[in-house]
Amino acid sequence: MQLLKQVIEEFSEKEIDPVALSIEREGLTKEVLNSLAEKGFLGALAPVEQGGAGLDGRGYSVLLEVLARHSPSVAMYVFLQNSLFINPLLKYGSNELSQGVIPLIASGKSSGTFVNYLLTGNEITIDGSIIYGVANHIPNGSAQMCLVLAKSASGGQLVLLDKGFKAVNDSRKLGFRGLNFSSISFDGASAKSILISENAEAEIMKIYNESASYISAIALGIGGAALDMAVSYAKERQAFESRLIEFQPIAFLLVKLISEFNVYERYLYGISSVKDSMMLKELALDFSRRASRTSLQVHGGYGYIEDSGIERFYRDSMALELLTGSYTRDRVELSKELLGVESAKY
Amino acid sequence: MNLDFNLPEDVEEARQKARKFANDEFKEEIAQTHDHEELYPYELRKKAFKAGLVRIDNPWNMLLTMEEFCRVDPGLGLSVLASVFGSELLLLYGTDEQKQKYMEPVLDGSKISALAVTEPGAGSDVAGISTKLETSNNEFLLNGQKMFITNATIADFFYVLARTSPPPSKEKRHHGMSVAIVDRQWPGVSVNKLKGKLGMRATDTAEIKFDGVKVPKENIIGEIGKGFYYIMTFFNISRVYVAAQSVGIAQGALDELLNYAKNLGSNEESMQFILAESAAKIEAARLLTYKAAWLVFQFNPDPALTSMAKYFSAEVANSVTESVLEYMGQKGLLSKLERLYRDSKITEIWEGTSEIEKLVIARTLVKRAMQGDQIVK
Repeated sequence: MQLLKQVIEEFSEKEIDPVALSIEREGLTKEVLNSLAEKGFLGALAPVEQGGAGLDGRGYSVLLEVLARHSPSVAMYVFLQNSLFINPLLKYGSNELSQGVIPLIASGKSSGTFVNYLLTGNEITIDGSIIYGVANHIPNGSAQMCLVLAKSASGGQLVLLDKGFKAVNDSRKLGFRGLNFSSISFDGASAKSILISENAEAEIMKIYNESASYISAIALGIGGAALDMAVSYAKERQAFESRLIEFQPIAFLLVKLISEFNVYERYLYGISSVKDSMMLKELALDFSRRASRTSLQVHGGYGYIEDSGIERFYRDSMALELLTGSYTRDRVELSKELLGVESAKY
Repeated sequence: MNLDFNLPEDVEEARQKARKFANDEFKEEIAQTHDHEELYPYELRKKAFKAGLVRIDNPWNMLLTMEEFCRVDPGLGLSVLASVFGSELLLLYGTDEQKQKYMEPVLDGSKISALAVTEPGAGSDVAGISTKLETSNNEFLLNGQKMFITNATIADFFYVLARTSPPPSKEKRHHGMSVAIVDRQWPGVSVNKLKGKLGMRATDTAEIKFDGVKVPKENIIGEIGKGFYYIMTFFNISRVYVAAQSVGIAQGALDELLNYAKNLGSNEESMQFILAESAAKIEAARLLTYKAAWLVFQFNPDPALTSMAKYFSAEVANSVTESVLEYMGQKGLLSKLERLYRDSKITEIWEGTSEIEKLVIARTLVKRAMQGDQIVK
């Protein structure tokens, strides 16, 4: 695993760092996507024979954590392709479908996105195999292929579309500005394939719950990098004829956050159940936001400007939570896991 | 007992007027464009002046206008109101000629001012600045660099803090600084707009370089060497306005949650608790802000109380926007909440970071305790 980490670190320094700022401003370029594809990262979870890297959960977590340190947008893109596209295809699609679609994603020839009304609140419905409705603010919304959770009388269906929908660019972005965000309208689009024909809602919640450790890996990458930058800056920057790191309030805040980071990171690589993942996510997202906020504060005005690469952590740590979960839904799920109550509904 | 929490009628009217103006003019689409494109709202500024909403001679009106403007959109609200930034310096310490030449055109809206204190190497540590004003014949020569200066590319002139003499000793680092009025058009002045801010993106922010700028003697404000104290007195006023910004931002986030609760109806107590905690924090911040302002506006400021108001309200703005956005999820991402979340952060940084405010509070209180004085006014 140490070797894998080193490979990804070297890759990121070479391929991502020089363009990290332009990714934020102009979006992910073909070159970056190609270099990710070449290493197999776009198909990290896909089997090698389908053009993927065939990583296990730990390897995939290392990938996301390291990428997030260098560019949260790149990590998010890889997460979307793998956890929310390739993974459901492998899990619920026929072999034929997987073999047809996954190599396209892994090679970067095509890309996918996931539309989930449980998070967006937009009503997407299915009638026969025809999809209706509009979904707002979908990350990587300009993708050629789309997995859609659609509302049905039978508890939801999961379908794959590769045409018939229209994406309109949305310029409002709190975080992950390297990704395209779009509104997607489905009026009358017909599904290429139905992956789950009933009770898809419950299955999709499972997918999100199982992804909790990977979301945590991104959160830890963001928080960890923000802290490293805060420490370097505090060691250099002088005020009142001392270095910032010599002032107790700053040092004490940083040591608490660094302690948290180390505990969470060690825990991440020992995770063995979905419950473990969900518990970590509950803590890691919050940690990530606090670490980013503290780092920005330590950097003062410099942290406030895009060039420093600090303020994006502040935005992305919040956007990560909003785009990959829902405040009440996540906690209701955790209540089921930890408390055994069917629903914390009031 | 004459404790009265009602605002005087004319101030309440000013609040209503500001609220109406903000709701009518700071439309969501306009706010989004100015945020996204980092555009200064020249037209809105003119309109606000025309409507008589920018009045530093009536500080209560100005304070409540600040709160109401930021409640609707902090970036636009700040851009409009901060165009008179620094004017209190002349109001307090300026000569009649300086007031007439510089302050009056700012107050009637025909000119824009800026305050230049922060430098690349000195932010919180104001006494650590290295910009110099040196005597040369019958004038001064200004050399140095300022950073993160609000209005710098659009201002007609700046109030610049610079060293006129080296600190006499390590303990007296605050001595030897002076404030000069410097025209942006003068030879040797150059500005460079800073782009890509986290929030308050409609406001103008830039760095300024002074390269051998000739400054006439009559452009020095007050006494030579007392600049640090003038700036600290100014901060005592401006920090109350930042506290009001913060209260407005937090209230704007609460408004969004209330709207959600009202329209959709939800009996989830997790939402109710966020709402209740936010509302309680905001009201506490507002009362603290008004009390600090009440003392400042009577020329009887309590620096500890002002710093409490500034620090606490900024904390409230940040925590309320964060928890409301977190609860609202993707709905929040598509509303003005995401902007309020980004806009709130600066309140913990500008006009004195929260760290500096805490130092002011602690040092003032310990001093009072040592002298057996009343701890807070």
